[in-house]
Amino acid sequence: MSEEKIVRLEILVASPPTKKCKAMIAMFEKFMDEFPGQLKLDIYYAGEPMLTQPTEGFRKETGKVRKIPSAYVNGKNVASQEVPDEETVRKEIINCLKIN
Amino acid sequence: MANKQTWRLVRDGITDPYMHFAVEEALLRLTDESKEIFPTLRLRQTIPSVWIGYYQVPEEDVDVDFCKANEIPIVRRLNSGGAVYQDEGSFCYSAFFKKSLLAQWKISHTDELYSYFGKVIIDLCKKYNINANLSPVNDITVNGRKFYGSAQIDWYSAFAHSGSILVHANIDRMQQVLKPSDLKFIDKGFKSVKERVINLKECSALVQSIEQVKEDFINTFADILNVQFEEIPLTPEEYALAQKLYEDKYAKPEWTFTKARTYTTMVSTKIASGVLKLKLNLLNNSIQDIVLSGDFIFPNHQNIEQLMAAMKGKNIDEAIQWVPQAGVSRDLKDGIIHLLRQIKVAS
Repeated sequence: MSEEKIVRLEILVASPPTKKCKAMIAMFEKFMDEFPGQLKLDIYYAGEPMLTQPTEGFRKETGKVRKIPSAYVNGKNVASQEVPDEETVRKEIINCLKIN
Repeated sequence: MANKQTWRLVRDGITDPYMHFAVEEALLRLTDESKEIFPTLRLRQTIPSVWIGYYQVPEEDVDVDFCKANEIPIVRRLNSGGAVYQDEGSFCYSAFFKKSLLAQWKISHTDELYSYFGKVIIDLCKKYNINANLSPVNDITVNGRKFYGSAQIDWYSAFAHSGSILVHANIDRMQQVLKPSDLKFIDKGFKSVKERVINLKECSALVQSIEQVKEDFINTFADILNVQFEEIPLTPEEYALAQKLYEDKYAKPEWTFTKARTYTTMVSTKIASGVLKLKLNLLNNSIQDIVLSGDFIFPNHQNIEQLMAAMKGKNIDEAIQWVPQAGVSRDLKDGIIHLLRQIKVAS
């Protein structure tokens, strides 16, 4: 698997994570199993410093209002305040992998 | 032919999975601590239960809610590898011995034990006209479907090699309780647990009962390894240590359900011996905390703990440079380096 084709997944969750946040983390961890070597998952905890550099898309989306939990695939928002539909996120990941 | 080596045979009849693993660890510890001890073969069966590998996260690999609702205990093993479901239709063995015996068996690396003990299983199958094959690293299959898996633990001067054999286990129940990573099946061409595993009883009409298979296993083991058995029950010392380990460790939920550590970055991949996941806390590209999880096979926990400790405080480049000198398998080193590079590329 080429290391040049990494799709970035980002999740913004409460600290400590709520039940909804945990469900979102669990869903995204599942994608890590499904697309080995193709994804990097970053989790940001609201109110805590971001320890890794977020994508440009994430920065723009969360500039003024932060919706928690929310999820992003290569900087594109795929969920706000609700756990997203798994299939929708999967399709977005596949799209990004094709573009990459 | 050389004189037959004497092994001890233990059939303690313990069916509680927590106590079962307490006995396993007690035997391993005492094998290490005793000066003169002959190797031990322990056979056991437990009530329906799920056993997760040392590096696994139960919520990721097991349907914990289903297990709770159906009163199926979940327990963390001391050895690595994947989650397994066991019931009265399956049995396991463990061989405990001093590592000094490896030279006598002409074994230069403990990985060779997978085929060394695997030969017992393959020959056992021949008795039932079943053509079984080793499926590296640690499985044995019939027509690509797994009925046997094995794992190891390296403990100072002692070593334990364990295997599980499906004879007539409840595969439907296994399918309900296990949710193995999709990565696990990627290179094997299967979509589900049910497609991936098979009971020995399905393979041959000559397989009558689990008791018969256990007896045949003992006899085959003796033939292949050219050993004789003395059946000796657990000693009071072994039982007392097992009881302590049961109370202090295995029966405690926190042993199996370790508190999840929050992390900021995750990457995963598939290596030859299983699925490998890295969860890290990064601060300005520097590793603050790192946890390795998955169902990969590696017998020496100390070396992995040393590797994780050594990576803390290093930046990703330094960690990549450092990993080759770690005391873990090549497979594991390559996997970790690959994952660290992924983090670098995506940052």
